[in-house]
This record gives sequence, C-alpha cells and structure tokens, in this order.
Amino acid sequence: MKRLILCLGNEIAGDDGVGLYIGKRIKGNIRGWDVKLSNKSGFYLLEEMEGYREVIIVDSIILREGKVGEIIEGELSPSSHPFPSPHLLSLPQALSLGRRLGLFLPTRVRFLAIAIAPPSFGEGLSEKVLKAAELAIAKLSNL
Amino acid sequence: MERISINPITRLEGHGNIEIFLDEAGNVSRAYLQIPELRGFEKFAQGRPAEEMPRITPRICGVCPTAHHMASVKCLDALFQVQPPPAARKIRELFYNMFMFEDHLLHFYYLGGPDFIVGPKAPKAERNILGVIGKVGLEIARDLISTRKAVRELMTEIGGKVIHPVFGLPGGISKPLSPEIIARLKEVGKKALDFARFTLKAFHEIVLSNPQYLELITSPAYFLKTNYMGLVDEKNRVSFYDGEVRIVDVDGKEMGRFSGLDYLEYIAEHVEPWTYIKFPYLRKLGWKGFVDGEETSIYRVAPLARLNAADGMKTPLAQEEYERFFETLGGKPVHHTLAYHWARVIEALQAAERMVELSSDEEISSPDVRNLSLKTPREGVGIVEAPRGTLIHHYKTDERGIIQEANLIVATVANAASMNMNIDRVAKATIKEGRVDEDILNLVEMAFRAYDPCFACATHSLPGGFPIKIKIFTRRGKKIKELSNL
Repeated sequence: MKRLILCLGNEIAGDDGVGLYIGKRIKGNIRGWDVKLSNKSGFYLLEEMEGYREVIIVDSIILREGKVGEIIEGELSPSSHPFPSPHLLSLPQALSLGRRLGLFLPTRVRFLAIAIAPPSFGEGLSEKVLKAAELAIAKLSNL
Repeated sequence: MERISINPITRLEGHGNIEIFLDEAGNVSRAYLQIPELRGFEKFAQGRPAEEMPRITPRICGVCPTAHHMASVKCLDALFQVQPPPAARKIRELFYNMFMFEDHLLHFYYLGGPDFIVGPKAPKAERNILGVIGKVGLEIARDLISTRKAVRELMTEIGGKVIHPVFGLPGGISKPLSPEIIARLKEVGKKALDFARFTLKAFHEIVLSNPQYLELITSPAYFLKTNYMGLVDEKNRVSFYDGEVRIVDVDGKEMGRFSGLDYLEYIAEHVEPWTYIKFPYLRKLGWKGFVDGEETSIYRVAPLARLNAADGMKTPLAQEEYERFFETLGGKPVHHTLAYHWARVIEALQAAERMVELSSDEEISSPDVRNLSLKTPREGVGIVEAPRGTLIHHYKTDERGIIQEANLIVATVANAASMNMNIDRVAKATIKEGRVDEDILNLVEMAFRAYDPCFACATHSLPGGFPIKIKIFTRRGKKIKELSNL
C-alpha cells in the first residue's frame, strides 16, 4: 500500500516554508512512507497524490484564533462546497473533483499543520515555528 | 453611506477585497478593488547574486512561475550582454508556449468558464468546474486533465521542475533536448492542438451562439475604452516570449514601442492612498485619473490587449479566429472587457500551434544551447508576456553581479486601474436602490475575473482556497447581512 507524506510551503515566505523544512528533514527517514515536497496547492496537488492510498499533508496554517507554533492535526474529508478558487482550489474540494473524475486518490488524507502568522518575504523560520517543526518531525518519525 | 463588502473575492488567485459604497438612495457611489498584496520582494532581492533570480522570482507566485522565470532569464541575458544560441531561444519559446497553453486552459475552464459555460446567473453551487463538467461532459474534463498533465510532465522534464523551472540560464538553457523528448513534444503538441480546437468550438457553441451571452459581452457595463500594450514580433503579430512592446491608443493607432530599458520612458506609476498597489499609466500622457475614453492615460495588458496591440496572430488557425473576433465585435480595437475570455482561447490556440511548429523545427535538436561569452554585468531588463499581461523584470548589479536594485512590473498591477473602473461601472449598472443579490455580485466579480488577475499568491497555507463572505453594512456601519459560500 503506497503512502505519502506531502510537505507543502513556500521557502521565501518565511514561516510558510515550515512544511518544506520538515520535508527535507524527514525525506528518506520514514519507513513505509514516500516523502514529497511541493509548493503547489489545490488542483495541482491531485497530481502529487494520485496513486497513493493514504496521505499526510504537512503545511502551515493561519488561524484566526490560536498561537503561532501550535500544531494542529486532523483529517480532511472531501467537500461538496462550491469552488471559490480553482487555481487555489482547497484540498477537500480538489479531492472531491478528483474522485468525480475517477482518479485513484487516497481514501484517507490527514494533515499536520503548524500555526503561523501571516507571512512576508524572507527566508528561515521564526523561533516558535522552528521549535514546533522539531516536534512535528518527532511525531512523523514515530509513524 | 452604506457599504457592501465582498471578501475574499471568489475564484481569484490571491486575496482581494471589493468594497462598494452606496449613497443615500441605495445606488453605488463608488466601488473599490483593494489588494492587500505581499510587499517587499524588491528589497528581498537586494544583495543576492543575479544568477539566483530565475530560481527565486518564480516563488513570488505559484501560478505563473514560468513567466517570472523567463522574464528573469531574459533579464540576465541583457545584464550579462549575451545572446542565447538559436536552439536555446527556440526551446525557451517552445517551453513558454506550453506554459501559456496550459495556464490559459486552466483559466478558461476553472475561472472564467463557469461564468459563461454554466452561466452568470446559474445557481452558485453550479457555477464552478463541476458545473462546467456538467455542460461539456465528463469525458472532456478527463481530456482537459490528461492534456494538461501531458504538457506539464514534459515541462517538468525540460524545465527541471514544472512549478519552478530551473533550466533557463544567462546565454541559453541548461541542457539540450533528447530525441525522445522531441518525439514526445510532437505527440503532445498535436494533442494540445486538438484540445485547443475543441475548446474554441465549444466556446462558439456554448457562448457565441447564445445571444444573451453575446449581449452581456458587448453590454455598456463591461465596456472600457483604454490604451493597450503587448509584445509583437517583427511583423507586429502577437508574441509571448519576445519582440518589442507595442502600445496602441483608444482608436488602435500605434503610439509607441519599446524594448529593454526604454520601458522607463513609457511607463510611470501612480499611488492612491487607499491601496498599496501602484497604478501604472503611460508616462507621456501623464496621470489623468480613473477615466476611460480619449483622455485616459491608462493602458491594459493581457489577451484582449495583446490582440488589440498587434496586427495579427503568428499562426494560421489563430489568425483565422483573430479575424472572426474583430469582425464579430465591431472592429479594432475591441473595448469589451468580457472579450478577454475569447481572446484567451485564441491565444491558447496560437500557443498550441506554436508547440507543433517548434517541436518540428530541426534546430531544437542542436546540442548548442549555451553561449558562455558573458560580460561584466551592470543593468538589464527582461520582458515577456505572462498569461496575465506584460511582465517586466529590471535588475541593476555591481560588477560582481550582486543585485543592487530590482524592479518588477507585474501584469496584474498594470490592469489594476482598469479593473477598478470596470468594477465601479458594473456595480453602478447593476446595483440600484440598495437591491443586491448574489447574481449581481457575481456580475461585479466577472468584471475582474475576465482579467485573470493574480495578486501575490506567494503564501501557501492549509486548507487553500477561500471562503466567500459578503458583508452589508448600514450607512452607520452596522452590519445588517452576511452571505457566505460555506
């Protein structure tokens, strides 16, 4: 059974690069899981996820309420919501579309996200996010 | 004054905000498109080696990275005063047309398509790609996905990475094309051309043959008389990768053309207190405000502008459709904003035809793809046509090639003033005596969606996508209604 850890982010947008940071650290080290890094989103992620039975998305998240560095875990379920942004189609919406088109997509998609503040251009992670990234790496290493 | 907010804008690549102010009678006083963009990229670039820019600038945007990569690479050619060998130039153009093809199709089917293929007044839940699939059929949707996938897989192999290509270098490209890649290019080019022709046929059958849609396209609410700008080749035909930038006035007469550093003589930027966006205008005419018609100094870019600024298309099928386009819409220039959608399909057709032409060009098999005669860098400008319009990269470096100053004029910004005027015009035409419903708001949004805008979509956080929220306030600022798609 093919399983994937899909690490997302933009490494020139400060803390938004946390997913990629984690991906580089764990690539090749998690037995039984492929690790991919990508800065794509929405619709484009179907191409990355196609062919996998189970996927864990690792990404940043901007919360209305919550602390920077907080780790949020959960499960994504396909959405029947209308698509507000096809170029940046949300992941649940992309999954719905992909299944409708008959693509072989994961039956289970979990996410592990690290809360960040709205980012600006810059490289490197803030102290709080870096600390959270280390915790996330430890969690993923125990899969 | 009553205020209506549409935030975030639906089906737009990035965050934006429309605010509509009503007067006491409930009619629109003024509508604004505000764009809280990510700022500071030029500062971020300072102190970095110029050679890094083609790898860094694509990260500005996850949607049009190839345009930034190519503008940046062309800027490095100018900076290091080096000409790529003919094979490299053609491969770059081929690659760029692949990008233009897949990007335009994505917009047509996913962004603009729902407005026309499904219908501007269709139920909200159907005005999306699933609604499009319902109209054109599941098989076509699969074709769309498989065609784009085939194109993008080849782009990945040629460019190193599809989202952030790394193959462009000053003076050429990183590797020649193998015979196997060329064979696949020919095959995929044919598939792309078939799909572009199908798309055009579908556009004719679904949109142009519907008198109501044609009436909407040509309605006064979506009319804006501006100047136009676009790259043209030596025969003044639409060109995406290189050529000279040509400017035509509101009557379609050439009023200037430039390349390289001369852009500074033609383009200036105006600042407004209510937005961070700088509004470009034609320097020689001076800033005349948010006005259209004979007095305007505002220019537009992107597909409609390119067709208006050129004398024709580069390829035969696209040229046929170009003639039909102007014949149907009353001659040149066409000022109907919703005609951007048709122009985009015509450009997708040209891109597919160029893929076929260039993949059959024997020169692309040459191993000579890099000119290493680089000179001491100082200053350079690179210009391409992004899907969303003319994109300009300008770098100044020290003698070691370290960036001292960088200036980027991105396509969406060039259209910002026009988008504001269009939204204002549509809002005034459709919102009367305080009556606002979702159909009307979609008609307002259609005004800017036609431009295929892209505002600083450099961030990338879960879950992606945007909830739609519409807030209506009383004149005293009390929120009386909130609509959402969730």
